[in-house]
Amino acid sequence: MSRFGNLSHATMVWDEPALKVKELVLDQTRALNQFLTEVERRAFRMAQVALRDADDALDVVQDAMLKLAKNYSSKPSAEWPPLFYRILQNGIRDLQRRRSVRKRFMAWLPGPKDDPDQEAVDPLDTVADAAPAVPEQLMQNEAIQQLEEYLRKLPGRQREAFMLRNFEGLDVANTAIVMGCSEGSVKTHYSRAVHTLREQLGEVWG
Amino acid sequence: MSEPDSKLSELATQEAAAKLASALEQRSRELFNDSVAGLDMHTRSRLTRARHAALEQARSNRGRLFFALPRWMPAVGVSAAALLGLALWFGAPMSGRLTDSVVASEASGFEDLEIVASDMGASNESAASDPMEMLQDESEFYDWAANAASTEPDA
Repeated sequence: MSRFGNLSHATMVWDEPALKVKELVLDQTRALNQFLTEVERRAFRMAQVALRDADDALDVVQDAMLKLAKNYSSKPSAEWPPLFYRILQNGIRDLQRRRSVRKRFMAWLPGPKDDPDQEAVDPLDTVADAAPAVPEQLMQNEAIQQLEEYLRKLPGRQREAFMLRNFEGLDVANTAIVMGCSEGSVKTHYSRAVHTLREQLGEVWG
Repeated sequence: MSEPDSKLSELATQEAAAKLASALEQRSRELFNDSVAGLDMHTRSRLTRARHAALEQARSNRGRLFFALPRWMPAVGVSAAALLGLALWFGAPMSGRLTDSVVASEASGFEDLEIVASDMGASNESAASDPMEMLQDESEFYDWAANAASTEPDA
């Protein structure tokens, strides 16, 4: 009896560090879950604005989440935002580069041109809604579309700087980490983006 | 327009531009937040699934990292102890044997040297004494041979 008692005690002592580690892992997983829940939709919208395609945007966001979880989940949670957005921006840039290469290649081939940037029109989108939206909602949607349109017209680096700084609230230092450039460049890109948008949207928004 | 007036108007323009920029930033931020809040259920569901896949990945990664260590550590410890034991068991007697053998070989070397030295001494003694004995035994013959050669007339 005493032997078994000692044995079970020893097992408990042996398992104690493992249990602590397990709790730590659970805490980190919870923290990562919270972080990803906070950023996933915003990241998706950012990718969608840049890529003009919901499926591509979802792929890029999913890839960014997997890479963050795989490579950086053991890092302190304070380091996750710049790392996540850096992975996301790299994914967006890679996809845009692949598209431009494909576009150039397709231009040489005979037959119908497949333009990935050209969104296919879903017939259901053209069907009128049964319940018409209220005018305020319509105006809001129109404003969002205008904003997206002008954001897409911006050079890529300016758009990145504007979205990261203004939409995600990253400071200059973290934005520089995400964009892989100096803080001075971030400030320049951001001020140019604001200047251009103000010129273009100022008239529209009054 | 005087210089101070122009400076004032410039400042006012800058201030107005800053206000406009700030209004633009705020308005665009609000619109972006609204668009995020208005995402459809299908997209939200796909994002949730992607997040769960990422979390699963993180869990398995950390599990591999943390829980592999306690499993590996005893195995590594036992292996190290076994190696040390083997080294002590076979290494120490081997070195003892080696020392003994070296001592033994050194001793046998001395013995061999003694034997060789004794053999050499013995052979030297025999080599030195044998010709004298031979000379004593054969002296009469040599005397006769010498006399015979001197008395014999030339042919």
